[in-house]
Amino acid sequence: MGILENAFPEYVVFSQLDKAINWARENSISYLTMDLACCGVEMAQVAGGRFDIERFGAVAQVSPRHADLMIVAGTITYKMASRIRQLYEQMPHPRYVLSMGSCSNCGGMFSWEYSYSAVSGVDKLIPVDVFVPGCPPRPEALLHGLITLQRRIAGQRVLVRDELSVVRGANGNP
Amino acid sequence: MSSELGAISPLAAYVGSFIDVSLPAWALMVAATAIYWFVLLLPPVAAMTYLDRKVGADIQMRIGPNRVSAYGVFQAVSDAIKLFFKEDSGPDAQEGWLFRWGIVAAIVCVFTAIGNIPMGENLALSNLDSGVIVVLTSLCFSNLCIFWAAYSAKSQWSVLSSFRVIAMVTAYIVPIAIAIVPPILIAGSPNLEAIVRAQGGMPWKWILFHNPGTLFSFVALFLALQIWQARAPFDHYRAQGEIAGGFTAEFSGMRRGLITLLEYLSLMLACMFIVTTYLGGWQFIVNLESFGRAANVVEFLWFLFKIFGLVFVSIWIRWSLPGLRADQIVSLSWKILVPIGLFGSTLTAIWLVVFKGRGIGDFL
Repeated sequence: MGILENAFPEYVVFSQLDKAINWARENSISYLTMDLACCGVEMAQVAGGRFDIERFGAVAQVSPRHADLMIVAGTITYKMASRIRQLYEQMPHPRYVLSMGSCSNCGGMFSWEYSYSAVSGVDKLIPVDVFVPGCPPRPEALLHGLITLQRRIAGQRVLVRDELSVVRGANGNP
Repeated sequence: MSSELGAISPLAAYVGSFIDVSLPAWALMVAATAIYWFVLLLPPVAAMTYLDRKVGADIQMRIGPNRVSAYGVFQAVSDAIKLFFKEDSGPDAQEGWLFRWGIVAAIVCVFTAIGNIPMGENLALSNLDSGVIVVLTSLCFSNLCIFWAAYSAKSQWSVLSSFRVIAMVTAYIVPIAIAIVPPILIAGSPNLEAIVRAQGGMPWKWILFHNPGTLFSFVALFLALQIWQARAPFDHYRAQGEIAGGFTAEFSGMRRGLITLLEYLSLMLACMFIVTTYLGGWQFIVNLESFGRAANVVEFLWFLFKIFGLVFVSIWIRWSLPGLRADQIVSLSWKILVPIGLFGSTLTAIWLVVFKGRGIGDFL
């Protein structure tokens, strides 16, 4: 979006354009699968016949440059942490992160009290939009997380000026 | 002037016949290109993206996109708007213009090939006597452009993909060049309009059923064009599981959308080419002389109907067969497609000599 982002006054035309852009963004989420542990199996299930995340227009991608959303599912070891950061930085704006399961939410049973090798939560590395609790969460819970993210995207200001954007950075992410 | 223009571009002359004012030839050509692209070509291509997702979901016992509108019909619109408003990022060390324009050049090549194929009696953008040769050349050049884009992206996945693209050119172009010989022999010309005119509306007038040999070369042409498109199971150079999407890996935003457009335009071109050379082209089953100008609409829809039959088979193959390795594709091409293509061409040549140019349909 570049210079057009948050550059327009709060007129009906621009807020309606915002609505159209947000409609497109929320209904066409390409997600980068970051399956690090057992949560990854539950995440793989969500693309299958029983849960079918493609109903919401979401498609799994293998390249970070095609992705809008990174689903971090599983335990983050210190060795993996730099890779997650790098892949997140390769994703084009606007980018979102969904943290799935206790390990990536807060470290879970591998948090700093119990483990020497795991990061206590992905929010130590990258900004997170939605946390999905569970160990591991059911696929329904992940779908609910996706719907929550869609609602979050629907409330975004794309073209219309946003006073907080100076503080928060583009799309609410620092 | 009109007849001269009609010899070069039937669609431009056809557009000119609707208006009383005499416009210069270039203006008619621009108008014809715009009509061809936006009215005749893009709606079926958009329908193909939707069909691919829905039929693929059905094959996997899923539902597929259904949240955007009724039955998810406008999913492609949502995808396009999202990609348009996404950041255009790329690798640091990209070779500027080759990386940026390679995909656009590939789309231009595919469109050059498509423009030669008649979609109705006057619905061809150009009418060249070397139509088949231009199509074959464009097939090769589109892959060369993909090679540029892939090699200049300078990431390991793209470079691996660029090697595979070049390795694959001989794997598809030789079977295609051999399998296209029977229609040229039967029509007596590589002009695509002449190939359509040599056939009839009813299935037994198609070149597919002209003699037993053409059945073999049809199979060779269909599979070789599948290899050219690099759709699964022949997706060795854009394989997602193996090399992270190959040359597509470094493209983001609208350039990623152009790759999707290229993929479905390629599917369209492959199906149009097969329908024109083997399945009777736009010729309708009954004579449409009394229809006047509505005949063009009927022919166009009939042509699209045949195309979507082939598209359905392509989607079916894509979603139900496991992927092939690069060496398996090459051996399929050289050990199976080339021999059956040669067999079909030879049988057709002998048949034409023995039966003095008549096909099975002429004896019925």
